[in-house]
Amino acid sequence: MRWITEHKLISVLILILLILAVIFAVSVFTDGMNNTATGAVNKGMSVISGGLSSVGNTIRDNITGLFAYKALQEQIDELENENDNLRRQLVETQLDREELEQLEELSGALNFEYASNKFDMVTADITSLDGSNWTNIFTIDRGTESGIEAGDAVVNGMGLVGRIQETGDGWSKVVSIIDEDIQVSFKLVRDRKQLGVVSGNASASISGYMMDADSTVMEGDVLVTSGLGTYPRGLEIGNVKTVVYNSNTLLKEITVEPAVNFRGLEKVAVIK
Amino acid sequence: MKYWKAGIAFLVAFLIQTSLLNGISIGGYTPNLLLCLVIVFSFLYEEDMYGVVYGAVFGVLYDVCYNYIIGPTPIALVLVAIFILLVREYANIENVINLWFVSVVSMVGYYLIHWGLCRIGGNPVGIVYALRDLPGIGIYSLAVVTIIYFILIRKVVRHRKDRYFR
Repeated sequence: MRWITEHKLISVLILILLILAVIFAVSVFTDGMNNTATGAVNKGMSVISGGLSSVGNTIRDNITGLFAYKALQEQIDELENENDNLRRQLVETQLDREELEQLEELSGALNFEYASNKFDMVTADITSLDGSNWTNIFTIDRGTESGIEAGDAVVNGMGLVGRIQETGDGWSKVVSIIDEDIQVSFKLVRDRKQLGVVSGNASASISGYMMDADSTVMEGDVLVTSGLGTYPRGLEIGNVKTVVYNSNTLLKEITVEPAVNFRGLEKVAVIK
Repeated sequence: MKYWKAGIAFLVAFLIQTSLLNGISIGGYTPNLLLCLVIVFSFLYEEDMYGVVYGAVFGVLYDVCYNYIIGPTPIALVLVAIFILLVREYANIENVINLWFVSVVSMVGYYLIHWGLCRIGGNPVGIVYALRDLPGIGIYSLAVVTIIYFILIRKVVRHRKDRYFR
């Protein structure tokens, strides 16, 4: 006690660090320490950030316009959107064709009536994204009022972005797939019978392995979610970058280039 | 400087960090304003410990809003503030080169600590990726640190403990 009174400054610093260490430990063990207080803070910040983001975007657009690049930018955005739509259509068409063939076989054998399985989606704007941070975590302007729940998948035109970690009225926090160590089950678009598992890795990309050692996976193959586990099926994950056969595990290990550019996100959609 | 004035500076930095600041990003990089303020305030003002107190408070708020776990940002900011409070004892705070040296070391230290704690919290990203953007963010932040420093240095009260005191 005497030491504390004699060393007030050091005592205060140690106390602050101890409190922060306890908060950190609790947060790690409770997956983010979600409660009413953090929800209220996030709600308030979502409103403020939304307004400030609009101002920031206006400033950016005007600056761009000053240099006469605005028209060019719009054209690029339009082409990118068109490209995204075409890529998605391509993946969906390939899946639909194979699915249709299989269902037709089934319907013939079992007299089964095919039911359409469309996603229920909510589009959202990104209200806060920190360009000074190395993590890819951001907040969107839709939450529980739109039926969004923790764990829902988040996508954009390019493919799978991540999942909702926390949500409240008017806001949701999104964690990207490369910022989590959770495993995602996938199948190849080229041959959907070939399944595997991927997860985020140290180089902020995605890596994993094929379930079957005889898999014909090759560089450039497109991966989509299989529907087993957290994410719904058919969401593009990325392209296979490398394939290496591991003689210890007897599995083909792959690294994947994510389909999404996490730094350039502006709009996303949440699959409920 | 009065405590409330420093508090407002940190509050404004916190509010615009993830929103308005993106409008003036260069190559997708924005300065880390909270870190900039912690560096300058800790470097210029010793006894009030603005960097430690506001770094802890706004660091916690930052993590509540923008991180998947709470703790890495305030702990990293407080450790940076403590480091600067120790270093400034041996540095002439009126020399901007000393500020730059302290800033660079602080930024590298901040991102290393932040990455380490996030790693403990389950983030799989490696150190190479985490530090990949540091040069861009660091240069931008260093420019902001210098601007804030030159604004505040004019109002710093000389203290008997400062070695240049006459």
